[in-house]
Amino acid sequence: MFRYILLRIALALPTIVLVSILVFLMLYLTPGDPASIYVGDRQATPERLAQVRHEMGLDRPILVQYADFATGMLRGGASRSLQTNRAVSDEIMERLPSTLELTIAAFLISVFIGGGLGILSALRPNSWFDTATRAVAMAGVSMPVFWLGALVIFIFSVQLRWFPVTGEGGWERLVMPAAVLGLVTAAPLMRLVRGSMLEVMGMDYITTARAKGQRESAVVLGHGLRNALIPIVTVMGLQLGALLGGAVITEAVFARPGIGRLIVDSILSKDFPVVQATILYVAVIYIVINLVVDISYGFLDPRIRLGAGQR
Amino acid sequence: MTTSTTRAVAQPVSALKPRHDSMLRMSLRRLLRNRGAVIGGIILLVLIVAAVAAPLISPYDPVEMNPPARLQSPGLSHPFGTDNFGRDIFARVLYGTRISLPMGIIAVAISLIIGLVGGLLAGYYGRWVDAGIMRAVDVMLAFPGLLLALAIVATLGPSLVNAMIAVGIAAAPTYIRVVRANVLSAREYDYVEAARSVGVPERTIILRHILPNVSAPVIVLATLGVAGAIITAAALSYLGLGVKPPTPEWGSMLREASNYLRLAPWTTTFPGLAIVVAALAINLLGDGLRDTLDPRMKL
Amino acid sequence: MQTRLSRLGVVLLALAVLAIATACAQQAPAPAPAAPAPQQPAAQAQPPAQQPAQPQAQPTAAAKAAAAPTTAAAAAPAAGNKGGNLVYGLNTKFDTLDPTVSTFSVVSTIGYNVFDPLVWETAPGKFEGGLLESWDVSADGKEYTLKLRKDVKFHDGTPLKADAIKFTFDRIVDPATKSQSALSAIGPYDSTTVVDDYTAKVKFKQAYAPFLNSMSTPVLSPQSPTAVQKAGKDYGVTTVIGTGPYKLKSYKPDQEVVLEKNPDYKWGPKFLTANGGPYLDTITFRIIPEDSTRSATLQSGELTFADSLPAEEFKSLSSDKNLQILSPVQAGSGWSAMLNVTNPPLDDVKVRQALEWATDKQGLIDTVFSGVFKPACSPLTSNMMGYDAKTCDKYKFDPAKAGALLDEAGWKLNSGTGIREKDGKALKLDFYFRSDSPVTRNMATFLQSNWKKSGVDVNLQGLERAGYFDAVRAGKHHVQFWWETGGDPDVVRVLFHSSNADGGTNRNRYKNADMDKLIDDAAAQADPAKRSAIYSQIQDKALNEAIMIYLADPLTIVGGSTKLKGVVMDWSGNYPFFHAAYIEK
Repeated sequence: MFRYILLRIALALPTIVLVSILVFLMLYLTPGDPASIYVGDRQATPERLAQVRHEMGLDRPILVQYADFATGMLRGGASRSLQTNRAVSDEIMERLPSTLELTIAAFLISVFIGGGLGILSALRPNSWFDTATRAVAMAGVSMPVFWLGALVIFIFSVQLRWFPVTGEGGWERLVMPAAVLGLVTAAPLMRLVRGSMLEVMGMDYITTARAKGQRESAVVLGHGLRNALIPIVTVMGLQLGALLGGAVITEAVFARPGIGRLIVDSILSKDFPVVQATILYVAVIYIVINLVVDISYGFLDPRIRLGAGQR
Repeated sequence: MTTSTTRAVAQPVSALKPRHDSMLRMSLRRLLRNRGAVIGGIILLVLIVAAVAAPLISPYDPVEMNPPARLQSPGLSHPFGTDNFGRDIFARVLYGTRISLPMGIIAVAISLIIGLVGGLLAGYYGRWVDAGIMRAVDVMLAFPGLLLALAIVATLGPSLVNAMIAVGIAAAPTYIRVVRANVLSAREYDYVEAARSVGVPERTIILRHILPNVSAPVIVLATLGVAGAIITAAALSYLGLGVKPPTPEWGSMLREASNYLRLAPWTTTFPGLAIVVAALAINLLGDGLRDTLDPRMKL
Repeated sequence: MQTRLSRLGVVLLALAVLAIATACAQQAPAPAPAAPAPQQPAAQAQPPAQQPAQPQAQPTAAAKAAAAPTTAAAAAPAAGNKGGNLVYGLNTKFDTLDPTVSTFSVVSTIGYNVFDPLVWETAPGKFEGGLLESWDVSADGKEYTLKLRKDVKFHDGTPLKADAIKFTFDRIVDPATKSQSALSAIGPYDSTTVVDDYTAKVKFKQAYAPFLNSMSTPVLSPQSPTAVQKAGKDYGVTTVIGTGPYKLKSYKPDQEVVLEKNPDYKWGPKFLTANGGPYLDTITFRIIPEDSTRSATLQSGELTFADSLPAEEFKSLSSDKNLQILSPVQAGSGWSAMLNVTNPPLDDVKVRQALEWATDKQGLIDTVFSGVFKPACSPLTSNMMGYDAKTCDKYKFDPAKAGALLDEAGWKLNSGTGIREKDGKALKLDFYFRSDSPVTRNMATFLQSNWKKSGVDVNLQGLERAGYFDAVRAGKHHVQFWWETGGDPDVVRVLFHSSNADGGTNRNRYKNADMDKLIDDAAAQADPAKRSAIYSQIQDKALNEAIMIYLADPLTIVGGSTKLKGVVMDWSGNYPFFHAAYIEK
């Protein structure tokens, strides 16, 4: 097990290096000058612009800049943002809790609603309940997050005054953004859970379990869900990544300072060190999630042995 | 897996024509028994007809401004009301179908081409080709899709075409994975082995024997993907990276009217509903296709 | 099967009804469809019940029109009761809290609470002591002698002395600081000498009258030398040390800035602190970039105050009983369209003049700014010193005149395309704007449609930041937007001076030796009346040559809870002052 994890981490390293090089090239080989954006609409002669570029270290050879960035990352994000002059690690660490809070809450909502409704509709396929849930799930996945967010703010904050609109701290500020983000991802999960459960519930061992006179809840949860979990867990892992993407918009609508907004802003303002570092963090999180998903297979299905016979 | 499937099987077979097109007919028949798919298909058809016939349906030009008639609520002369420039929102939503639907379809076509080529190569040739392509997929998957699209548009500059390319590329890794997985299993089939041992050229094997096995999941993925692409394109518009004004794309209509959400709710409600209805219709159709073509597919 | 189908139909129908119901529920404040919304705020029913005591503030347009008396609510209750925690909705994130470095004007919004300006500008061109007790200008206008108050302490306990001025100014011009707004504000700075503990002499390379206005902003406020040296690169991030009525408690970038009362503050200006203050226990600036979210947060009661409220919501916010909305004209240079005079066909003054006549400013304001902003006539907003009202007679919306000028310039209408042509080339303009802002997007969309009626084809190029700045600095554009806030008429330097023409802020790319001389002379002229006269000449010249099109003078729309008392708006409409503000219990 331990060796397997080490192996996976070793395999992930080249991916991370590749991501960093790709991001670096994408930023440097495309038009757009960070110094020009930094100066913006202020008075600046071409000489002054060159001066700012020099202060930012952008006039150095590209390899030197990459080496600088790489050593900065190895020293824990010591390089500084071009736009704010703050250490990149500070920029990220301040926002990470907010984004994690949002994505985890959204994920739980997504699992609770998607999973719960999925199981319930699988138990009564093609019933009125099933049809209604599927229609709602379908509508949910068809709604642009920013529109749903704006509607929710209008109804629940301005009209009903149930929840505060923006900011963070406390569950009441988390409810709306997490629900909006969670609902959008709940729909695909619901369809998946329903499909998997339907398939599993048709298996012989379910019939056997029922014949043995086990309680229905034990049959559904103990035998049905347990066996349907592997594909569900896989997709849940993928969805955490999608949630990070969705968080970009949710954070903008609800004015939450998070990683998503940081990435968007830094991409648009060509703040190279921040883009690189943030995308690397996201990539690492993503790889960790995938690792956790793979490890969880071993717990879900003892037949799968990690590390054995890996190609 | 549903009752509709079993009923389709229980159909009398007398009406079936010769064997080579019976599979297709059977699938179609099954699809027609899927309520969701039928509803989705009908809505989609209506949208397409509306897009084609837009000039006949709406008396207004979607970009023609009429300031004195601005922000009129829905009524007889303007069924969806007017926006802050006095443009008819019904006309804009209608003409928007001409932008948003093809946008979704072209974006998916881009993912599809990348996915098919990449997935076939990776799955069929294996070894270093596979390793290389899958590493690239890993790298792309490490970016959330929207962010990847954003980076691409920020690089190429905001425009309709670039938004399509961005959304297409961002979604491609999923297609590569699905195609590859199906190629891997198809490669092991006896008849493929047989064809190879007889010395059938590789191109023929890929096109004649492998590709058909991949088509069912890919059709499903692509259909569902059109809805996703329309929504991602709307999100890009929200971030200011969408189409040029005054193009009546639904997402940019929502964005441009965002300050009127409370003052003149119809300015955002109708483009928003248009996105929901179109995406819903396509999703229903895609769901039905999945039930029909590939009921075991995990999506 | 049949029943299931209908069930699904019912569900879908229910969804649709729900969506439409939400839509209808929101329709209440909308104008009736039959009668187009009246554009004059005068028709607005009643202004918020009471206006607080605001010596400087412009009452809301509605209040002014209705001639509502300003009920002085400040029959000041006992000072002990005053206090409260203010939550302020700020419209943008920013780079750093250090005003010496920042590029953002919101840093000055926060800065007026943390720092004291050296002088206060109480009305256009009228100055009062701030941290300075007095000041002198040499006869040639190149040397300023500044005398500091002796009773001022920084938040870190160190006393304010003349070395802080020298330290701050020298730091601004040090390239390593990457100073932005402050560097523009300090102009042709040469050096500072410390005469004694409380006297400093500031020398300029040439006469510089705008220095007084610059000193009235926090960007030139003295920073504590010990604090800056101690914090190093973290100054402006983890700490800023000023002398103002509030001091920094915490700062979470992108999220919020929390200030707390400075109990030692005794050196406030009379016009703000005649009745004491500061009272507020804390001020929290929450960063809420999305316009509609910010106004929703204000209406939900979470915010006590918010700035940059969208013009679209001006009416609905003004009619909210729990809110008082202020809308002073924002000083500086309003929204305008810069015309690149080097890019044909805009090198022809007739074509530029034709665009001036072709522009329907009121139409733009009605559609983009809900009729709330005022049509602009001049590069200076109407409340600026030196503004010349005659500029309004120069151009009116007159498509016929525009057409005649274009005909004269050789651009004949092709009735097939509706676009004018000359020598087989269509009259086509590339219009660059930032696509991430709905306001610029909407304005550009309007002008495209507006100018098309005069046979001008506009190619809209909405770009994100990087592409936009690359294009306009290189001069690829024909037209691009400008909007500048600031209290001194020297803003015309930003627009027309040749030193800013090559890739700088003068994206008209206009270079003219006479204009340069006028601008430099005006900046050197200390006598306000003579200075104003030169600015009249500058405006006249700029309008004759049709260098840019002035579209709309923005109103700063800010608002707060009716419980918030004692907020004073700066004359320039840019900054609210909270020196004596408190929240009624």
